[in-house]
Amino acid sequence: MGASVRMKSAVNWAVLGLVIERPSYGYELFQRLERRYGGVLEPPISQIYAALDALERAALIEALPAERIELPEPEEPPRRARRQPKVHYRATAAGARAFRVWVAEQMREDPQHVELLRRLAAAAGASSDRVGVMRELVDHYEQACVEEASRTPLPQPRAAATPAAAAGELVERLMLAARRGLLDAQFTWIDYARREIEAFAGRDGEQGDEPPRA
Amino acid sequence: MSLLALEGVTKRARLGRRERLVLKHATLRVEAGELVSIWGVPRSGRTTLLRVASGLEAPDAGVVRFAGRDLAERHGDWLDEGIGFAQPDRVSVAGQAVADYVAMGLLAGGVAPQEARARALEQLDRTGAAACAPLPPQELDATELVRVALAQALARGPRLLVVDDPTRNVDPLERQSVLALLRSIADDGVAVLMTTGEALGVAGVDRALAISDGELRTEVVPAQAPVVPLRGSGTGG
Repeated sequence: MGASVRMKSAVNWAVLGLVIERPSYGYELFQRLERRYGGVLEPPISQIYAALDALERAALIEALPAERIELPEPEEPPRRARRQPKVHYRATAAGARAFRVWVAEQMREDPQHVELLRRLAAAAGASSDRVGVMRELVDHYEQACVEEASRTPLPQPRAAATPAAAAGELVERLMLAARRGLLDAQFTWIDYARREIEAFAGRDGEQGDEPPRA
Repeated sequence: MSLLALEGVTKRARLGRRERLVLKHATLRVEAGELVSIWGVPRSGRTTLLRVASGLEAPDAGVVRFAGRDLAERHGDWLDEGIGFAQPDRVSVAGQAVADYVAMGLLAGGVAPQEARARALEQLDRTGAAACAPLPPQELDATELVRVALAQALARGPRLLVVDDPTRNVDPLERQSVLALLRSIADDGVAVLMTTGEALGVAGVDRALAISDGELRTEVVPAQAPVVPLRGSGTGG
């Protein structure tokens, strides 16, 4: 990635994730973030604009040329609409890549999957396309787990020089086996979660994004 | 040109009155000498994917190309010469020894008996199963069955080796050496396409994918993983 990215803020990453889903502008992002992460992440709109600035400086997103915007603008309050032209942002290839890496890291560094579960909970509370978001989260999680599993080294046949070296290698193998044991459990969970989500989607209609009847 | 290319491959399976999509628009490439592993649970479509990829079953839609040729243009049940399909659960020749089983494909291909036997022994040695050569297949344990099946699949000198979950039923202490063997086969230039149901099965591969409910979802090209020595030496593989 060209730009060095120091992105400690969860809001920045959340905004980047939303922009990757579809090009968007500040106020719309504010609303989408509220719907998606409401109750978990509730930044003021100024922080959304700050995030957009930071992401653009890091070349993770770019402003779309004004004339190429042909997007519906559903949630714009009418009084704001004429004030100034809205700048739509889209993700750059570097942004999409950085986001994938970040999601994978989040999940790897989070053995209790708090981050994943938090995001699933946020998706469940969302008013639209909750099944779509859940599917996507599980897909991301699977990507992270496969990456992690493929990066764990495969032991190669080699004669250890001394008993101490052999013991050291044994410990290394045991540690790797512990990591893989966790990954196996995560894979089992992924399969189970997918089935549950699809069963839920089947009950709630094909897309699963219709609001429940009152 | 990729050695193996699946493009938009769909496969249906009929079970009684019910029809199920076993593969949904699967797209996959395997390059020469590449070790590609597909993680998936049983009934995810992983076995069907391998059978379609090796030409044992024809896709209902999409195309499978091996070395640029459409595998659908082949007829009959025989594998393409360039493809070896290892089937540990099918290692059996009534009343004969393992070496005969490994030589079988060569004999069917018109190789003289003596040469077929020599080549069979060479492959058994290659896969760490030389000691199994004179035994009847029913005496083999799970690891030996995998090694023998790999020798049989390699006997005709394929460019692509296909194997379905090679560590299933294998003793945990032997799994790494089976996978190290597959790694070394790929390093020798024979592409390997395998499935796995465990994290270990994607360790150190050139490309890892995941399949679930007939869909290939994830594709990972890991950076070269570091090497950790395997238990002891001379474990074969």
